[in-house]
Amino acid sequence: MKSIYFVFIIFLNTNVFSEEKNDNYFYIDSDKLIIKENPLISEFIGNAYARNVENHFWGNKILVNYDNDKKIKLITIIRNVKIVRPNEEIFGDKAIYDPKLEKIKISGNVSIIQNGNILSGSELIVDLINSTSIIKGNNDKQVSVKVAK
Amino acid sequence: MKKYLNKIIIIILLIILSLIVLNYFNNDSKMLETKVNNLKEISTPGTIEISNPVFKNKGLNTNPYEIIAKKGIQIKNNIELYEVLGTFTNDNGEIVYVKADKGLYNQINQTIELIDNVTIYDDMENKTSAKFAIIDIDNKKMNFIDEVISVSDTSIIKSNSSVVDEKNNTIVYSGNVRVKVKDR
Repeated sequence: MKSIYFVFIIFLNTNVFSEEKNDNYFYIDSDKLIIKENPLISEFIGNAYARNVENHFWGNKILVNYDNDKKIKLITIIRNVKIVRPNEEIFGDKAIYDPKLEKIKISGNVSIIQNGNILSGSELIVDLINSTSIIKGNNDKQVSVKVAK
Repeated sequence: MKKYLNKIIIIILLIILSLIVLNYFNNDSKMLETKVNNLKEISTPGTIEISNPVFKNKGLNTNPYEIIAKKGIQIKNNIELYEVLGTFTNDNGEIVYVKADKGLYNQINQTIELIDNVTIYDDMENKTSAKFAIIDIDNKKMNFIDEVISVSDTSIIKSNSSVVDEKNNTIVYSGNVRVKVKDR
């Protein structure tokens, strides 16, 4: 396989925000919500915005998959994705947040802004437990970095 | 002098007595007027007042339900209900309870419009409240309108309106949807 992947590892310190982890709720707003059963899925359509203590997600559509105890299993944000986290802003076409693994995978035209620096690629994985972000590129789009002076 | 005093006392007593009698008849006529007015309201042609009406369906073609009210007024095919309480059994055999201040039951269309303080809840502590709701029994649909709030043990959903479609197993919330759901 001729694909060339560039990997960037960025270590982030998010301990500053750990004190705010008391609220175990997700807040989601949208124009419309469709709840389907078997399996239980919530589809938030139009101006969808989800947030918990640390992370804010925007997108055209947000899908929430639940486990058997009706707890959130996966949150998928589709189209015009914007994620705001402590010290960084992430943009992409699609994002999947796994609250159990504490990981966010962003795909499509991904860009991440940190302290004025802009990194672009095709896929980004944010590990919220280890405070790491891995950005990948592919044949069509290699990772690019714009460093602020 | 004593002769005049007796006469004055008798006159005063007569005046007091006449006042009492007049007042009594006045009250009576007012009560009568109220009764006549009530009768006019109730006895509009084609209306029948029913106290404690009960509507039951044992579920040959539809799921079983029971609607009771404190008072009902039948106007042609509609029955206006006051202090409505109802139980509906869904496809899974679960009972859904309905409460509202007022209702309008259409026997032909098999629909119930619920007005003011509408609450629908089940044994699993799922509860939805709204200002107005329409239950379409045949099509197994519930429409909630205005200030819709759904509460379960894991979430709270607020919206302008909502449609529960039991046939398609979907619930649609529309307009200013705001959700608070347990993260993990």
